[in-house]
Amino acid sequence: MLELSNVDAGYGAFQALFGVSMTVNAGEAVAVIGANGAGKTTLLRVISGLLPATAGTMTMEGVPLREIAPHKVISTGIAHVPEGRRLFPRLSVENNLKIGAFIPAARDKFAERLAFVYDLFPRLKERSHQLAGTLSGGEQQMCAIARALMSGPKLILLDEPSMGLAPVIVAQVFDLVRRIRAQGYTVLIVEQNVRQVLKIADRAYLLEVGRLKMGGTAQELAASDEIRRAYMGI
Amino acid sequence: MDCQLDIFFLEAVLNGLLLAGLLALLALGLNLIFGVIDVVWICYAELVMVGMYGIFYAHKGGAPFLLAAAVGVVLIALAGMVLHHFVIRPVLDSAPINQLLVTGGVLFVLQAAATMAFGIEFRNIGIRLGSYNVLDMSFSYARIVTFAVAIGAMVLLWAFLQRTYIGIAIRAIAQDRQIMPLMGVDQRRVYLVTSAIGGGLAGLAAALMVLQFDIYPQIGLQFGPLIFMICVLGGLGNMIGGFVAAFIISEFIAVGGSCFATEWGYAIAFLFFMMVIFIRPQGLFGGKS
Repeated sequence: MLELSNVDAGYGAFQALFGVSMTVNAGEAVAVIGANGAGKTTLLRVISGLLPATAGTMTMEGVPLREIAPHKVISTGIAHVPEGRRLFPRLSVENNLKIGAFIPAARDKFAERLAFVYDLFPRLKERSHQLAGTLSGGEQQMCAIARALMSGPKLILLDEPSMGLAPVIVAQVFDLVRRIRAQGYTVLIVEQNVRQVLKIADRAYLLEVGRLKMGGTAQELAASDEIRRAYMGI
Repeated sequence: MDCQLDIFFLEAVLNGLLLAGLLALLALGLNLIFGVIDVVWICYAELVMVGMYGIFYAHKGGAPFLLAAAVGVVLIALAGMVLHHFVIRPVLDSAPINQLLVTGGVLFVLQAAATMAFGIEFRNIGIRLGSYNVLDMSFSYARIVTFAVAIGAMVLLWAFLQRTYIGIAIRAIAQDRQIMPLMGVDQRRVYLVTSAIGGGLAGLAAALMVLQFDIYPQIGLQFGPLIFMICVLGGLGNMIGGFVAAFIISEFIAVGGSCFATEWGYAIAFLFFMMVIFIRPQGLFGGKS
């Protein structure tokens, strides 16, 4: 579904990604793990066009992503739930969801998808008229994921969904990710919470200072001594 | 000084209310532009001036007033888009002072061009609506119509920002610019639509103002500082704050002008503004809405 081949990217003179090649197949949950500053967030920003790649190719179902404007990427079926959730704090929950359905192809299905996400996350329905900024951290993550679903994506990019949340809420957020997987969405998730994310992913890549160091099934990575020592503290 | 709680005091208060509608409309356009694009159109009142001339000449050329007014709205909406595309877009990422200076430059260009094209004499569209008299008070219909249309336009804009996709995107972009592409929103298009609305509001204000005021190239200087003061008092970019501030300032002008002398009305309003800004630099309702 998503193919990256030898992708470079950076911020000015600072290069953050070096020759990244990876694949996400339809129906998979793929995790990218790595330390803080390894380039995980940059990788997602490059895929969704927020940061231009400087070399390499990226395709989504054959569509070359580097050749389309950043705001068109969502129309290829990629929805990005950004780091820190980034809801519009002074818009209601429902208006946040409406912005998620901004693209013309999604507007016609707004009512249908709103019913779907409210069904998936009943808590959001209860809070539909509340300002998004007043939601709890876990509810905000729920709203950010729901907002991404409103565009009718095939692939969902999740950037550190557990960031800044209390441990008990983190478990709930990983449960949310399991639930959207069960709905048939393909997921590419980056996380520092390696132990948890390897439990919900099918495959995983290890990113170290901008380079992919390792790739394999989630079980293989979870069993690797290097990863257990460096990232799981075992 | 002659300030008693009599019928003339009430008349001043009500006239202040009517003036507030117009000033709130003017402030709304400027606040919308600032809140969304993060740029101050210093030349906002000059766009209104150009609109007034456009409506004046359209009417003089035979167009009925309503058609001339519509021409003015469309003309200044287009002017807003042109201003954004050719002047604002190149300096979007520049320092605020550069943005102020380029729109300030447009102010002088428009004033000079209007003076060259239309001369310095005062022009009047020549439509007299008469006035409504009740008890010993008199209110010109031009002011009453202005108030009603301004309030109506603000309600329409509010509904647009609440209900339509592009309206919600306009509010969202003021809250988080960077992630708008992730929503499929083309920031450049939202800015252009916002500039057209901001310009359209200036055009509408021009259509209302030609009913009350003479037209001359420097009329922007009479209203520009007042509009900025209202916007800053309400919290620059805060549309609701600007609305409330317009009523406060209008009452200072109307009641102050009636109690002392008309000239003092503006001075008192500015003194009040200065006191507020010393105490609350972010304005009465600080921050963006």
